[in-house]
Amino acid sequence: MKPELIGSSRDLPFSRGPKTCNFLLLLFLLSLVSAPGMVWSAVRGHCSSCHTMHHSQDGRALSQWGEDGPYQALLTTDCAGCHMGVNSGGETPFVISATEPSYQMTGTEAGTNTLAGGNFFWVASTGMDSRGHNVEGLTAPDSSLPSPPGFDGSQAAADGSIPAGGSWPNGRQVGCAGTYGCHGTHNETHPVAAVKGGHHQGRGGAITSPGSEPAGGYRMLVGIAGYEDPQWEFNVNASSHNQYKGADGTRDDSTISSLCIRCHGKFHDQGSIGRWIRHPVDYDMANSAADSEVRGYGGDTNQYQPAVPVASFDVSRPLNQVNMQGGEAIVTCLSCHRAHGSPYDKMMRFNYAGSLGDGCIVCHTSKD
Amino acid sequence: MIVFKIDRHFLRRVAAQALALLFLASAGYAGPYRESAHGDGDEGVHRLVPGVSSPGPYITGNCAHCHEQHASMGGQEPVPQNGGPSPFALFAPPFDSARRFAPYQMEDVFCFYCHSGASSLQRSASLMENYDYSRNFGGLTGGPNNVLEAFNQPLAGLSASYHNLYDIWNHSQRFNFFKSNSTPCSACHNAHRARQNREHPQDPGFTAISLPTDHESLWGDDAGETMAAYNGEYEHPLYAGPSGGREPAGVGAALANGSQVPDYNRFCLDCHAEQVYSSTLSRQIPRIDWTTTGGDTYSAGDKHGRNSYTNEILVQAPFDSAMGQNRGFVLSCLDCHEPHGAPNAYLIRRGVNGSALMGQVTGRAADNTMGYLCRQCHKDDDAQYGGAVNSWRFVHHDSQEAPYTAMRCATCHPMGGGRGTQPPIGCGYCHGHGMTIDATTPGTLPSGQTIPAPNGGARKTF
Repeated sequence: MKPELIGSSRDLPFSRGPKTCNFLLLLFLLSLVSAPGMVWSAVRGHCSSCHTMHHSQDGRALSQWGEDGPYQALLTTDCAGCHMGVNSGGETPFVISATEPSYQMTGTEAGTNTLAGGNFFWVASTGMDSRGHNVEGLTAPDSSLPSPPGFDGSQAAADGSIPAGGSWPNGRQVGCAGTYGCHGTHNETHPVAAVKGGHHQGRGGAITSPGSEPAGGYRMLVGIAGYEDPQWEFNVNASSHNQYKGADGTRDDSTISSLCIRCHGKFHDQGSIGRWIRHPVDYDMANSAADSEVRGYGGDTNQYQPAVPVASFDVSRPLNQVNMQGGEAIVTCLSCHRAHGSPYDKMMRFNYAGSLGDGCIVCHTSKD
Repeated sequence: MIVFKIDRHFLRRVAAQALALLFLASAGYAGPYRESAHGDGDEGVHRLVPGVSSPGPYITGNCAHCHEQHASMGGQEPVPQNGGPSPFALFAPPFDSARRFAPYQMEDVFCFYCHSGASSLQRSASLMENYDYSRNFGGLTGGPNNVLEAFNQPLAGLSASYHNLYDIWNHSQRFNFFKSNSTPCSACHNAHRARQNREHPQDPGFTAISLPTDHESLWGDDAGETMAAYNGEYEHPLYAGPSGGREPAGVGAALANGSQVPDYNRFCLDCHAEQVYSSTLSRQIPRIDWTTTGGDTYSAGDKHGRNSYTNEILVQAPFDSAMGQNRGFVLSCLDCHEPHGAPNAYLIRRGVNGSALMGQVTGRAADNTMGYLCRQCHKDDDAQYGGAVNSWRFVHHDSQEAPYTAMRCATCHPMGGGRGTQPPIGCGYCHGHGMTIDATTPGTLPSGQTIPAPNGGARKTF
């Protein structure tokens, strides 16, 4: 199978054959693929699609490669180099586009071409700081936020690593991965080292026991569980989507919200007041009163709403309907936000700021 | 054969639009919040935060003007009010239950952050017309200009009164929707549904109230929830505005059939059908029976309610002309009372039935200032024969069915004055919600004098 990277594989010289593939590297990769317990390798194809032994091809760097090479792990480019493009349903998820993606209202409508995380296009645009995470290398630093809002430095990943080592330096941008990033371990400064093994050993489908290695986690997020939609929600509907891991009031470091809390821990601190003092996450709406408005999520049949997703205890499969008996209607950070970015303020999934509660009323059904 | 060729891009567009509409539909595109006063896209909530840039890009009516999902604004944590996050993710605490009495400060009740006049955080607050009932619906001028001011009328005098917010908060704990952190205002108003009744004073569809026992619905906007439900027994009072006509807001007499007024009786009785405690008065407020008929029997309710009068009553317009048609007027609570606060005792309106009261109702049992209210609808001696204002000799002693024969004045009246000018008895000794007067009640006056039974033996006197 030919690899699919950066648009069409026809544009890549590697597709002509593995001329530069190092035998030892191939042997190493094959050994990983065949290792016991591995479900699937996330990246398939020729080694040369991603790697170059000498950062040289016929005595020169290829124009398709990144401009700042050589790169770690003998890669031909960096994160953005592979993950920039326009999604068309291929095997590479594009998270930033050079041209504005089609998002429509919620990024879930037919014809949209953003993925579950959204897209960094908007935050990378001038004056759009609040449209996404201001990731180093993709966007300029945020003009008003020198550190992650709500950062308290006390939340560790499953491998014990803490973002920024627990103390975020003022002005330091967030990265894709590593010490200041979301993906991989926070113990590694370099993003490539942080996600080591993730692209080759990464597991797909249901990730119920994420362990503490980047490769074991949902989307290479250390310790995070979840069901990975094979298309990253390129074509999303109530039956085909990511299934996010949630908890109900108890601390669970495998939930998708626990990932966010590593950097934004203060945002959902319940405190001791006894009423919600901030919007809850990892709260199961099935715990609400019998006549609560939130039990109307998804209408009479409680159909899963891709535009405002809820998490579950069980992530072995995507849920088409949400059972209000318990464990399937859990509010998460991603119920409202896109992890990468969106066209909307505060990287909301829907146009919250510009509406009278659009999106909110999917759960707060009496406030429509 | 005709072949229709449909462009696939067109199909994609149609599909996308259909899904968008589906989202809007699931989001309740024209639901009650969007129709509410707070959710109005032009005049709804729009907070201006001192020291912080106006809350971002949020349009007027957006949730963020009241709620901060992360107790943060602009990345600062926590800001901006009261130094910490607040229940219901509001930007300030809903209610300070340590505040037992007026005067209230803006910080005491969340709603006052906007409903407070010059200090309001609401953009263009001066355009908010949160007047009292007497002005909004009764046509009087002057009065409080905002809700906080309405509650704080005790500042204007000892006799002024207000709906004690701590008492409301405390009493409302019994309602399922009401939480220990709820603002007392939410006992009567659903902030996500209350509508702009000021803008549409004759259309109860724009009601601002919800029954405490049915918080998720508006009250007054459905058939059966207006004063028309009293089958013609409700007589609209006169309107004090220049247009004349009837309350509310000068509706024409021919149209005034009760359907322009929410059934405030049912609304108030959601609490006041039972005895409730007043911290301000340091006593129980008696239960109000506005529904039981039975004339002067002891089990009957108030005659100002569905119970009917039993003897001759001398009333002013417009009730006089309706006397032949109705033997049992049913008044609306708000015909006499303000909901928030009033310059008179007992939340008595400053103007009733088409004009301002000629004196302040003090609430003191020993004086007859309650008569300033009564005379707005009942004929005092002045109205009856040109006698003294707020003097009630004729109706008590000289009318055809007077309860007491004019003799042995000192049996009831304090000593002093000459014939016909004896010092009055405080109205409240005999008249008030739920009162009956007979040989044993109300019994002895503070002066030691005993009020005898009226002619006929017993009367319901309210």
